[in-house]
Amino acid sequence: MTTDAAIETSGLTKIFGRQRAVDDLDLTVPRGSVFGFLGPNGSGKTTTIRMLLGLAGASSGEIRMLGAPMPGALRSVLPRVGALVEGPAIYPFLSGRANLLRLDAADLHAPSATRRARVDAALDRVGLSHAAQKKAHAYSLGMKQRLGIANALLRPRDLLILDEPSNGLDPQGTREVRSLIRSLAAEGTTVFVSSHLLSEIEQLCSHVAVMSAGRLVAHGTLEELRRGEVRVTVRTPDAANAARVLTELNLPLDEPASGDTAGSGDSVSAVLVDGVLPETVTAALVAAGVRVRGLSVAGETLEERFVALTGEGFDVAG
Amino acid sequence: MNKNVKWLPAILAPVLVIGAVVAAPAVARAASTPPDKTAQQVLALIATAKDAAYSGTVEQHSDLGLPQLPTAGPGSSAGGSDATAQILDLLTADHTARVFVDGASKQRVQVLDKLAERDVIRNGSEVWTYDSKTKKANRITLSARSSAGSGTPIIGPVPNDPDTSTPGGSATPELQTLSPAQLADRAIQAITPSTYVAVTSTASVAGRAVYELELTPKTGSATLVSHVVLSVDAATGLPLRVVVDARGQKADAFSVGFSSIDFSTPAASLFRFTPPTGATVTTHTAPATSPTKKPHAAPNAAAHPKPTVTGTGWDTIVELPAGATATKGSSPTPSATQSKLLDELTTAVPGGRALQTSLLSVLLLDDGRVLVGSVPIASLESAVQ
Amino acid sequence: MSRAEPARAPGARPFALLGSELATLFRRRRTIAMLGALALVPILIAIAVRVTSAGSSGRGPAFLSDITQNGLFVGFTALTVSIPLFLPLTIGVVAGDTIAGEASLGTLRYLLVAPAGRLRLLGVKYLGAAVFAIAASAVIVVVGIGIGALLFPIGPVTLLSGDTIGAGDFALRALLMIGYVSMSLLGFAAIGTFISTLTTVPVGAMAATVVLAAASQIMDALPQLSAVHPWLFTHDWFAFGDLLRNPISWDSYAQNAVLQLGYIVVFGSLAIGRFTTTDVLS
Ligand SMILES: Nc1ncnc2c1ncn2[C@@H]1O[C@H](COP(=O)(O)OP(=O)(O)OP(=O)(O)O)[C@@H](O)[C@H]1O
Ligand SMILES: [Mg+2]
Repeated sequence: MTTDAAIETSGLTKIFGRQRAVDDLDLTVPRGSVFGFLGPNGSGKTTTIRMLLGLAGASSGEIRMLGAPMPGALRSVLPRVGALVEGPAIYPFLSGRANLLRLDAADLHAPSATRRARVDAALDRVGLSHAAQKKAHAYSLGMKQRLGIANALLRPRDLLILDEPSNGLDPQGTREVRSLIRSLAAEGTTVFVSSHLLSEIEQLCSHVAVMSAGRLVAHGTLEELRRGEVRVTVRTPDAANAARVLTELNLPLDEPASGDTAGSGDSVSAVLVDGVLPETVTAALVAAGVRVRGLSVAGETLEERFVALTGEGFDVAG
Repeated sequence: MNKNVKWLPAILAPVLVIGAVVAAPAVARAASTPPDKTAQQVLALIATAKDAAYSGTVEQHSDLGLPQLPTAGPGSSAGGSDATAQILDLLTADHTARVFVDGASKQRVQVLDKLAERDVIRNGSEVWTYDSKTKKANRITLSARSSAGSGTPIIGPVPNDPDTSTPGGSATPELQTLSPAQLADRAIQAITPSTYVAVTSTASVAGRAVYELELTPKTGSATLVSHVVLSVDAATGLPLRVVVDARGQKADAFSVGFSSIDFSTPAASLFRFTPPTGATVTTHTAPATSPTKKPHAAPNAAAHPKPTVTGTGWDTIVELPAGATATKGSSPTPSATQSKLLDELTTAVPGGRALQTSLLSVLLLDDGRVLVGSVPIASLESAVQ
Repeated sequence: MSRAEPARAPGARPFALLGSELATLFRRRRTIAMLGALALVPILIAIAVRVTSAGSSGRGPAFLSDITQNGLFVGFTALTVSIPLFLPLTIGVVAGDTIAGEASLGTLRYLLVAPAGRLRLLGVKYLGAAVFAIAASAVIVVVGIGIGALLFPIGPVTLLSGDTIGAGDFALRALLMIGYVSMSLLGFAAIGTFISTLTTVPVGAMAATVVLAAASQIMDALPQLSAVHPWLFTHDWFAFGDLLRNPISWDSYAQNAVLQLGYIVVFGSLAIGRFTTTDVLS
């Protein structure tokens, strides 16, 4: 095991009754990375995060966080870790500010002299300054979410573990969280973020891991994960003609049935196999008299890769 | 593995607590053994204790084989109104009293009830009783002769039977808190040819080494008493505990004894009693013959015909003539509930009703006579003629 | 535990969490309402006695008949009335809520991630319940004495022994009584805290705790169970009367202290065993 990883697990397993919620997970989160942790509902992301933070004990396997074994070194490691686990939790009868003051007081190592200042700074950072005195039961979903993020930012952290940070946030909030994560990463903080917003992950993350039914199905840098087929899509009123041209070029056509990227209607798409250049396709289409309205070439999206890895099925794995 | 280690304190703590509970009395029992003494020497030792000054807590337990009632609601004064229930409480419930004694003329007994107290305070010739529930105080002035009397006069004349469970009295300190010294006097009188006497010196009471005087009736099954054990403080001669065991019953039928005792002189202010404002004060002058008999009972006692006593020793039977006692409770018109309770307690026998406890039998004849004795009911019935 | 602790930040106060816990507890409307309800007990008693001028019959709770002569007894009467139900009810709510309440809000995971330390959090939570017990008994006695002094004549206090004491001695005994009653509730609070670690449903923990107090009192009233009476945590609850004797009978104070300590040790370690090993999944 290398020691410069922010999080390292080996053989991490959590069993609930007869279900293996997390199954033999080997995860390495390099220091300084922004690490996207993906997976369908119930795939074991939150359970993994609970084990990382010492909230739940592992059924078997080992965890090292910031170079120290967990949960053994919990008391020295956790002060350097900010976390948002399975959404925010609030004391509804306290104001937003009092909520943060209480959670900060819980940290044995947090200096009380700077407590108020740090709480105010964190509130300011998530844009809650004006609602700080409001009772938290009156907060909207997104305000609670912001409060949860502010809690993770009460002290300078070496590692942030954020479970679905942009859940319930407005577009401004989502953008704000993105830029927040970027600026924290720029300061050297490792960010471990689980999310279902793949576009957000794509924009933010340097590394990605994908869980499915408790197992790790992909793990690496974003580039490694996304590498794969490149697609050419032709928008044209002469779809049949275009499809014939592409077939002649030995490009495998997408199934017409599979949604809007296929050859139904006025567009045709196919995998751009190695050696065939986009300009060759354009020339061939024009030569065949296909009226081209547009032509685009794109690598596989993370979403497509995600679905390919975790399956099309909508039902969660029991 | 780690989880199991964390559960360790949870498993150890109860074990330690229970261990401590079991071990503590064992440690307390380790008092040094005093030199051997004969029964006579122990009795002589008791006589030296007359002028002792001490204070302590006395506990009385009875297990007379009577039905037990749930204790009255906390803090309420229920139970006090029904004479039969009151007697039953006296016979079956446990009582705790504090005793303060400074020589022969200053004593105070406090019967500690739940959120209540009954006090008897004697200071020379002046005796006060006070009941915190009724807020009634009685002041009794002793005549010169009686106030010079025995060491513990506040207990009054001892009942005619070897234990204290005489029905007909109300719950007064006199009856319940027979101090060990009083009961010791009774036991001494009982040491007649009818009794085997043995002394052991290995026990301890209230943390003090004692001589145990064990009295066993020779009469065998004629009496209900199996044996009486009197514990006498080895250093001061003060009787610290009396235990009466009944024939065929494992648990002690009756015991009264100190649970703690301190031989320093109690504060003098304890014996100076001023009735609180708001209390009803009644003043009496005690007749010379029965110095501190419960005041309201005194006139009655004078009017009663004398009881007949049959037999001697352990199987003595006392016959109270009709009208001598208000057997169905101290109030002249028994309420429906209390006579019902009395019916539950007693069983019908030819010519009346019988009450059988493990130490004492009572026969209530329809003609009003009452026979009492520490003997089987059958003995009472055959004594009726 | 192989790694050394990071040097504690300068200015970090280990008792900050306790302060925060107490502030949170006593700022809560529910807590204030419960203390208010307890304060209502002596007020209602005083007004009822004042309006009907009853209480001389010798019936009703202990000390009731003393009130008309000395208003200072309102506090004691209110204690007698509150001990079987109201005090265990409110303390059961607070103790049953300790861990289960945080778990149901979800804040438990953030306290633990802070990190509060499971042992420290449990200790602070229990202390919070203990402080509430003190506050609850103090409210009853102090409000009782206050309203009594307002509505009735006051004067030297008659003890159960029939002796009379002055103001200074009375104040001391009232304080001792608050101490005794709150101490009596400490074992009960430990039981409640333990039950609270078993569930994430605070209402369930509260109900179970309160039911235990009732069950213990029922067992204490059954003479057939006299063998277990001295071991019941409610057994000495009414022995606060021993503070109104002359001289004060300390036996029950000491005996109760040992009993409550036993309960704290047993249920405290059960709570520790449970809470330090359980998964926080709420
Ligand atoms: N307390 C629990 N008891 C039993 N099973 C649980 C418990 N918590 C979670 N699980 C199971 O563990 C599996 C993983 O749950 P987890 O919460 O880790 O999923 P997730 O990846 O975070 O899902 P989501 O995207 O919906 O947040 C699920 O099948 C869930 O049913
Ligand atoms: Mg989740």
